[in-house]
Amino acid sequence: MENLAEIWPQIVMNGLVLGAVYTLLALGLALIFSIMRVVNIAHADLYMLGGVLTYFLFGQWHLNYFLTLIIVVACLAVAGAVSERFLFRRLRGTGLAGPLILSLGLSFFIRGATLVSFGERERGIPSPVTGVISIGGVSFGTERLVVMIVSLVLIVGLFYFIAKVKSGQAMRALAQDAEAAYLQGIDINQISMLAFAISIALAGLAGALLAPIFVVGYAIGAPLILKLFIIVVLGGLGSLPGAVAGGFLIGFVEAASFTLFSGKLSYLAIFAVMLIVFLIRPQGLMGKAELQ
Amino acid sequence: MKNFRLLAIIVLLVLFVLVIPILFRNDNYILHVFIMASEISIVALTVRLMYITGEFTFGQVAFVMFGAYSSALLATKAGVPFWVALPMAGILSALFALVIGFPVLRLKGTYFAILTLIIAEVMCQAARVWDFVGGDTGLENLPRPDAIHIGTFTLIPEFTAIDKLPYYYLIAFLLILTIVVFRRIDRSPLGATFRAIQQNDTLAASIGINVRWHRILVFSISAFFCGLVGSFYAHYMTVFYPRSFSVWDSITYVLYAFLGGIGYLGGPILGSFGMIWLWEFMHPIQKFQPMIFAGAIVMVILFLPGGLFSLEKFLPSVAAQIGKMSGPLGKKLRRN
Repeated sequence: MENLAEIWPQIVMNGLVLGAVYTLLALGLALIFSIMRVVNIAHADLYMLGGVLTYFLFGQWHLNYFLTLIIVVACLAVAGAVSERFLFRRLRGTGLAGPLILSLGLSFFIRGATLVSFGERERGIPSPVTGVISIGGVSFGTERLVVMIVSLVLIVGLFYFIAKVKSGQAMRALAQDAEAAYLQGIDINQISMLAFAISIALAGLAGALLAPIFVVGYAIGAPLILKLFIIVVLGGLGSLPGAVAGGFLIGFVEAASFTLFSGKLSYLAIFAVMLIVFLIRPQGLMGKAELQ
Repeated sequence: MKNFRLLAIIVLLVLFVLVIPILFRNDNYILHVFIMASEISIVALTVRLMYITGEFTFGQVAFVMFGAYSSALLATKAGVPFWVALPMAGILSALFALVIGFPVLRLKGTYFAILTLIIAEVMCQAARVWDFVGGDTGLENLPRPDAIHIGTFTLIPEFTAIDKLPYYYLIAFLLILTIVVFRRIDRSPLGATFRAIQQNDTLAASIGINVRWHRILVFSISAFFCGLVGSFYAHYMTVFYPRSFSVWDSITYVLYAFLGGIGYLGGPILGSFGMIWLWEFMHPIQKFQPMIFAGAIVMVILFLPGGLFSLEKFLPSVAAQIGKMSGPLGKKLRRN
């Protein structure tokens, strides 16, 4: 470990990139859980779908990258709104299991459809942003820097939306007490649909942003969703600040253990951190527990 | 109606233990699918047992895995015969559930569900890096169940790779055992206690039910049966890897239990056999297999929220139709 001084900026950078992206994904998951009590297993598959769309639009048909991002966000926002309107709304108030099984069905469907149209192979996408930036003698890929900054902006934007914009405030009200919110004249249907659209558009956008850095394949959602669950539970279920804390914590642990140990152990390190947190705070970092 | 139900159970039992084995005596593929479906039915039934106390668990694969590893290690490292290792695997899994149940069952609801999912994943990942249990390559060359002879009488025949029939009967026995035990639990005061906890655990605690202890008890009972399945799996396949027990298997158990109808004892069994055979029937259109499977899941959960078994409520009208028929069967059904 004599070169620790050399690799730590790399760890910090990778931790920030991973943390920002995990947070972006976990926020979407936490948002719809807090509002609608839906544990969306398909969330990571929608991230994958964003990557696959980017592969076709940008990698194959050579559209402008920013146009691609806009199209991906629009498509997934519509998909989210439609799935809420026609699928999840029917199961509202039936408990945890129904929506969960439904999202599992959707997850299998998205994977199956991708398998048919995209094939089994994992593919890469040429990078839209290239080059290296050197800060204080340490060099970072511009691409990662861009992804990190965009993610951070989106995270801040989401928090601003929830805190200041009227429909965002309505979401918070719904999360706190759906009945009271309804009595105040908040349209549960409309707000739920909006929350779903935002959550899934963010997942798709994360997929589109990360597609040039990682590979795209029909199965990349499966390991990711477990990590997202860990993050959301670590932070406290349904807590948005908790999702940020969990996202960055796991991002840094993964980046550090990946650089210091091997890949296999990095996965176990995440669980080690999680177990420690759970022994001390079973309800997660910022959650109110369903303790008995 | 009661006679009708009894008739249905007898018909299914005869089909399961006599007609299918005789009909498909030499068709190893069909027997294999039935064996897998029976295994999964048992685990799906344990998911239902947990659900009776109001919890749903994604961690059952951890106990299947624990059973498989303990049985395989007992057999290979200590030379324990299969017929001893099988119940031992169940007991060890139950003890394991007891130990992890104390901290884990402090949580409930979504926390508990996701935590069990994560525990299953941790165990799978830990087994991949732990060399004592075979690491990533797993365990292989596991012994098959031994034959037992009493004098000249063969109590249990030879288990071989080419003949799946002994395995079929072994898992059929385990499945029927599970059903009988769970039915007894359902109808016992213990089952009533579990349901009281499901309905309102605070109220249950206030009338003197030790909620935590009952949760741990049901966790251990379900782990026992998962352990048996794990042991069977190990000595049936004779080789397995940590990744044979992924959390996606665990998710599938929950899926089958709910699609079949978690409110009914027959639900998880119907769900497992139904969905597994649906999957197998779609082999000719392999490309679209996952999509159609997923479509079926979405349709069932949207239009039959009580699961496939909730179609049962239409049975009286079907029976009435049959009742209009002439003949002794019609007369008998009409009387009920």
